Amino acid sequence: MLRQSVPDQGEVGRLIALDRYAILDTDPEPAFDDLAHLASQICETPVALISLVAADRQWFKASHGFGCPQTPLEQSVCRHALMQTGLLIIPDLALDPRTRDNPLVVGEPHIRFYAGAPLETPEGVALGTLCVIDTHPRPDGLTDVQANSLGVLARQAMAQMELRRVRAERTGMALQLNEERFRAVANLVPGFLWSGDASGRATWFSERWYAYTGQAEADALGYGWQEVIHPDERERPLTAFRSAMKQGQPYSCEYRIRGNDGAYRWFLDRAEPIRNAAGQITQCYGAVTDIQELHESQQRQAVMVDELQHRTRNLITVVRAIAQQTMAQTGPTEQFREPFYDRLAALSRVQGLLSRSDQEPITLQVLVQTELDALGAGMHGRVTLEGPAVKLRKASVQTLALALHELATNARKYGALASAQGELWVGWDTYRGDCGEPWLSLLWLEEGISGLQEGGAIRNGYGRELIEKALPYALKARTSYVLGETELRCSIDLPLTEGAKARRR
Amino acid sequence: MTSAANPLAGRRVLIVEDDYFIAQDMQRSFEEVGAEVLGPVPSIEEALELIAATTDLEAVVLDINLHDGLSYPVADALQIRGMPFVFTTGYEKSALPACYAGVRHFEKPVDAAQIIGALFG
Repeated sequence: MLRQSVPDQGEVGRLIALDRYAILDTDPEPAFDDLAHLASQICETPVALISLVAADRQWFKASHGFGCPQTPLEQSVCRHALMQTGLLIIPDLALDPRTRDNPLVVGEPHIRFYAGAPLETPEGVALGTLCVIDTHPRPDGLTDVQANSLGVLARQAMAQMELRRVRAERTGMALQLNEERFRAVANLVPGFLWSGDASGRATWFSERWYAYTGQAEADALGYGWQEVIHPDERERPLTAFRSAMKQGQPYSCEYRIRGNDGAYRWFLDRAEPIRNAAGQITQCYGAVTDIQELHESQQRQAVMVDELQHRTRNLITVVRAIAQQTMAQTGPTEQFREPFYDRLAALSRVQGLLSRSDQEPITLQVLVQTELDALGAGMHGRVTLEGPAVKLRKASVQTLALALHELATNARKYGALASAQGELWVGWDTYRGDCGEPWLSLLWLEEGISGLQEGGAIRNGYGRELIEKALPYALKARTSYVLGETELRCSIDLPLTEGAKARRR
Repeated sequence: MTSAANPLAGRRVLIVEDDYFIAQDMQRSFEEVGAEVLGPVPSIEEALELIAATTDLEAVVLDINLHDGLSYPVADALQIRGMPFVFTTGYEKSALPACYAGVRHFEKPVDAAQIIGALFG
């Protein structure tokens, strides 16, 4: 009794219908188990099955008292039930020509009695049966009540399958709707959205990616998206992405992407990892934003800062030239020229530091070092700088730099660095003011000053006025300048943030 | 001294300028022509305090870019009181908000004599 290899019309109809219910190989469900159980009780049989007949096997959605979840089609009695309408009852399987050779009858578990009610779809297609089986023949078959009940339970099993199907259909429709909504939103976003795995393989891009790059889906997915990254930055996103995923950090990277017109634009790519219940990163969603205009404006700004820096320094040079010309007419110039040029040079240096301060914040260390370096080489052994890294606010840098310049120049010309054995120690630290605001305390200490000269009292009063008057006025600093027999002690305390209360008389 | 030699004798002028040496220069220039200088003060906060506490102030010279911000709150306080003032700044006139279009504006470096002329001329 071999099954025909080409399915007939009826079988095709059954297989199509079965497919619609999508029930094969699903987990057991109590609703079906209960029906099988009830059938076995009512019909007083050890076995009851809800059996669905597929192309090459029969599979049991519910099985009561039967070990296997499915059997080959050759062993199926149910398929005979499908060939007729209504109940199929075989009182003794060993006597019936359709079943007497069935391995389940001839061998284990030696089944002898079968009664099955078809599971019919509303369209009248039989998918399988609700059947009861016994290991003893039953010459009298089923009672009327049993036969009737088996039919009712079969219709109930079919109703459950119908319910299942409708529910799944609705969920599917809802998913599809969600998908459509998601796509609509994804395409509203001005940039591109993407998803990928933790190693950077793309699994999805929003439509705009394809519209902008001109890539086809097959070209972009996986690692194909790298093809449209600018060669200068091609390695950058994947390296940054993998490193971010490794550390479980959000990813962010800027690079150029080639448009379908061949022109590159700058983009900012950002992504957040998504973790599964075990905490592993399973996938990632990312957003790519066009930052071309921001990039251009940053570049323009950088050019402008350079230009401004150039102009400022140029202006200082012009001031020097004007002073030179004026001095040529007004007489003795030498005493004027050197300190004046030195001060302009200090001003020029601090403009340089200020123009770069967005990239490199200006610290006190840098400011002091810059002025000491300007004195020339050979001082290092006799100068000690000691203090933590302290960032200065820009507003205080210029005045403080000019004051440090006066101190440094004075030390070199008349103070500790002018004598053979003198030493300079510059130390600083921070502390909290009355209202908890941060202050800087700086001590400039010169020791071993010899042959103190008159000019040493910080030349012509300008330096001293800068320290004693200008710093308190402009920066709310508290300063003192004390010149002893062999030492100079200058202290400068100033608030590191704006808003410290003035203590002005 | 006669009032002809000191055209501003006894006039009280407030200078708001955060650079010490510029403030000193300006103070000297005003005092040379007999004005009484209040301040100078370097911040918005101190300028507002002084303005609120002084009844017989006659004019203000106001730097725009101060360490604690742009001095427009001071300018607004002066406009409310109807007190004459001028701006001194490194900015160009076009950079100022439109509401100060009527305020005299001197670009740095400024000549104190011009400011005196604008305030009391």
